[in-house]
Amino acid sequence: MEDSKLQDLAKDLINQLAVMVKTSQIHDPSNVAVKSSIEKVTALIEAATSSGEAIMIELVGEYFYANGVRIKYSMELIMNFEFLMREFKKHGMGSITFLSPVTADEMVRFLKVFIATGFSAEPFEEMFEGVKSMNNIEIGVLRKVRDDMEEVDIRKTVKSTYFNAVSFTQGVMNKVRSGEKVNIKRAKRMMQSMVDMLLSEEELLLGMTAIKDYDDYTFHHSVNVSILSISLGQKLGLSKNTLVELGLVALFHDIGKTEIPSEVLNKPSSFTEEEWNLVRRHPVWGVRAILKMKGFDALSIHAAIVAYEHHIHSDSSGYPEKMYPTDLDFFSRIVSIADQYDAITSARVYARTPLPTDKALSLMMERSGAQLDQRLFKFFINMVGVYPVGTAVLLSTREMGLVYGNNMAFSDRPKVLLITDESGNKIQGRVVDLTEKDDHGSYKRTILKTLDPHKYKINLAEYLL
Amino acid sequence: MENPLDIIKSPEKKEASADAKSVRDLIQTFLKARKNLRLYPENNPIFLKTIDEVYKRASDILSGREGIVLRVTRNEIFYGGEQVYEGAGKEDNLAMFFFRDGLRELVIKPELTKEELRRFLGIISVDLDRETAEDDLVTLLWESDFQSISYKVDETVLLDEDTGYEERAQEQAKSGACTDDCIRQAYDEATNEEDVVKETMIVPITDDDLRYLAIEIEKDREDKKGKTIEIIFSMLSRVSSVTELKDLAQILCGAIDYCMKQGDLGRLVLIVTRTKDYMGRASNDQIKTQLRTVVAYASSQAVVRTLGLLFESGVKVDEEGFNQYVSVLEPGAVGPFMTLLGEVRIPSVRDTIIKTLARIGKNSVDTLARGLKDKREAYVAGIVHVLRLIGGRQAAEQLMKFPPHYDMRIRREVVKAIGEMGGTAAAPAILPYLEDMEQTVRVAAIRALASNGTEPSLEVLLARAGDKKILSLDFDEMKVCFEALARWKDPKVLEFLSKILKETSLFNRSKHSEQKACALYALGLTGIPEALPVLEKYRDSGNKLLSDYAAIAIRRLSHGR
Repeated sequence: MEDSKLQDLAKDLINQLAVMVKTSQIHDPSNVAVKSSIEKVTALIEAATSSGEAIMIELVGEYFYANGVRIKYSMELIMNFEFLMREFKKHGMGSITFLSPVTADEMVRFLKVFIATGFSAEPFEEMFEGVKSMNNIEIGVLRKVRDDMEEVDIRKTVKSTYFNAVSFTQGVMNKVRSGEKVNIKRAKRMMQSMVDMLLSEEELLLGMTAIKDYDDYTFHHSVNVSILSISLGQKLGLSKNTLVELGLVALFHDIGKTEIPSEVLNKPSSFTEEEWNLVRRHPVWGVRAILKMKGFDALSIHAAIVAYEHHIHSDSSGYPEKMYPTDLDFFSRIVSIADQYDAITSARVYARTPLPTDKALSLMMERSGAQLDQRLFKFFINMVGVYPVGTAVLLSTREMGLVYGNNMAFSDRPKVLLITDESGNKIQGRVVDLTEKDDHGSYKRTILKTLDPHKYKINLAEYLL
Repeated sequence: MENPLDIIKSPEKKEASADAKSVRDLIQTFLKARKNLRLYPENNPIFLKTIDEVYKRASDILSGREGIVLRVTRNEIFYGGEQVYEGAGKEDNLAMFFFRDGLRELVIKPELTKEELRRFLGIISVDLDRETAEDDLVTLLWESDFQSISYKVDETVLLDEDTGYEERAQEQAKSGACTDDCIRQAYDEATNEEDVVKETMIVPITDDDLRYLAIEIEKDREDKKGKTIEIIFSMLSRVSSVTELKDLAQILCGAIDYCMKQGDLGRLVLIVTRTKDYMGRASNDQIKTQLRTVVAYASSQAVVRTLGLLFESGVKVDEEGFNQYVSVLEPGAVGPFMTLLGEVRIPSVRDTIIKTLARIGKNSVDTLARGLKDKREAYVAGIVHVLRLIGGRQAAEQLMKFPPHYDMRIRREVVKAIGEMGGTAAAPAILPYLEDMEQTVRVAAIRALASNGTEPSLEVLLARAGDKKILSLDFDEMKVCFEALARWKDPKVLEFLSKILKETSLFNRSKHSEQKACALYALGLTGIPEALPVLEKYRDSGNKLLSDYAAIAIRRLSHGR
């Protein structure tokens, strides 16, 4: 089958599989909606196997592949793709193969097994037993993308990507300050690496943005906003190329700060009115810096708009004054959310006390509508998750820890790096998975409450770097 | 990353050589394709044939294999440890082309489609050396998001910033590590507070949210130039220093450049008119001076040259936008447009430039006339055309001062223009052209006198038609002279023609007959009925030439009546 045909067919099949599983979780197999979705799925399988070849839908990392071809999906299918991805992960299932056309009865049998095993301790093994007798359906186990050693390497690569980006940003800002030429080719390459990294290691990269204990706030902030924007962009279904553009635009959003004297920018106390007036000029200076640095092209135009608009609110308040009738740019609204989030969770923004992530999100929620794009902010909350990486938590075992990685299938059961034992003694971090159960089938650990790491002076860098 | 040399050093089995040979051939077809793709546009049959050929070769080589893995070093490409390409000293070194941007391994899989191959060949044919290239090879490969071509890159080639940054930043960030006491205190405080499970904040995404998102993504594709220009003018209205003002002026010039490159002349005009508006309202001379540079820039050599490139690229330029652009041009644009006139090759573009120069050059005739001294014939002809379109005394004077050009076509155009525009001063200027060695120029000069229509021109024509020298001309040229005289429905002309008809001659009778035939023809053209009896007399003449021309003239007179 031609790649383009396979793309279209597999895209429909993945979408319909998601619809079928969703409706089956709510209704009985005799329900019209379930029946109709089964009909659609079986028809698509028939089309896909008409040439005598089997069709295998496989989940590798965060992507579905059909017979080895990565399936790209449009924005309107995000929800269903992500739902099916979660279901695959929940079942420990890496692939499903339809060897030849499947009857509706066979599909009903498969669905019953699939739903029944959803909450079992060993879902894949049980499902495998149930599916074994089926002639036309085979399932494969979810492949572990990497082993522990590899994980260490990946963490190292993520860190290098992050720090390279910060170092590059520092270089760019210094060059802009001294009027030197900036290498845009390099910026693009760096952002492409970042996007690749984010698509495969989103949590790790987002985890890097949680560490706020650096001296070079402005550079780290720029990179953090870039990462958070790309991550939100990915949730919004933007293409890889658009994510690179968004990442670059976000990276340069504060470039106008190069004109603010460093003694003002890094002032440990509150700004005077005069200093505030200077700070409020940075969007305007950003436009100047970008257009002087790069001249006019699609990217610089977009970057200039975002540099200008990222402090203008949805209700046109904020700064600088918006003197044109058109809406705020889509990227401006994304960057604005990422910027606010990183700023209010950081320690060095105009001398304010940083907020823990949950409080930051609550505050932003209050502001959304008037200040932020309400709908985009909903996507942002979903992206950051219930417990963002770096959140300090107290567990039901009385152990204290830091969220280390999320669990897509169980958003309230992340991986946690323990920093104390149950008696409060500081320990060398060990990562535990909160989905782990004991012999009685109960969860070993559950989050009791979140803590403000700044309040307790917990240095995230010590644990996450 | 694996060192490619490790593999190269390892002894390979003999069978690999046949494999390597076919891969070597494939690389050679890539190189051949690279040349063709650089030479021919995408729809050219040679371009398409090249893609077909390379695809066939690649498919043959790839079938039955898991893929081809190519390792890249500075000057060589290796397959399975064997060298399949050697580029040292070659101007178009493919290995170096891959290597310098960090590409170290290229894998081509058997699922390669023709479309992917076309895009890949397109990428390796790009001239990435040019200064303006904003992307490198790896960026282009990345953007293509190939399914069947993968690659490994050494990102360290990009590291020119602070290489020790990571280590230092980590060290600094970790320096504030919390002590055991600090953790203990945190633990005690945390466990002493009431246990509260954090409320989940996840907000479900609805269909409405997705619909909103789809609309916003679609809207985001709209052109953003307009908003950027709005922003720049917002900034201009609040400018607080001369440096800022200078920067903004420079940015506006950049915006003008960009609009021209995009063919968005409407927006370019908007920038100029808004800048002029600001200039009008500015109280400060410094502001006026800076804004003046923006307005002038729209008429500059650089912008006009871009316009030329745009025209010649075949992009459809919006006519209304172009007319608006011409209307905001400064007199300073005459020079750049004159340069452009000498550079453009497409006739329709040349015509547009000529018409534009005629519109903007009315007050720059002297500048335009300097173009008459140029050595390029087509260029001078263009300038003559411009001056002719401008018309008026000043343009005519410039043409009359202009000594006959060595190119016959230009002399012809100049004399035509002088006749049209020169008024009573034209006749003496036309005289030298009457003696031109080229008949077409002499004919043009006669016609120019006719089109001039002034008394001095009539005098020159009468003198020429009555001069014995006219008998040395061929019949057609002689006829043109009399035809020109007929333009004047003047008794003086009638009298002259009658006199010619009455003249008798013993010598050179055939030429005299031709002269009389021309006079008869001219009488017919005058449309004066009083000429009819004379013409009827000659219609019955025994001289066939005279009788034929008299008949023609009578028919014309009757027709005219």
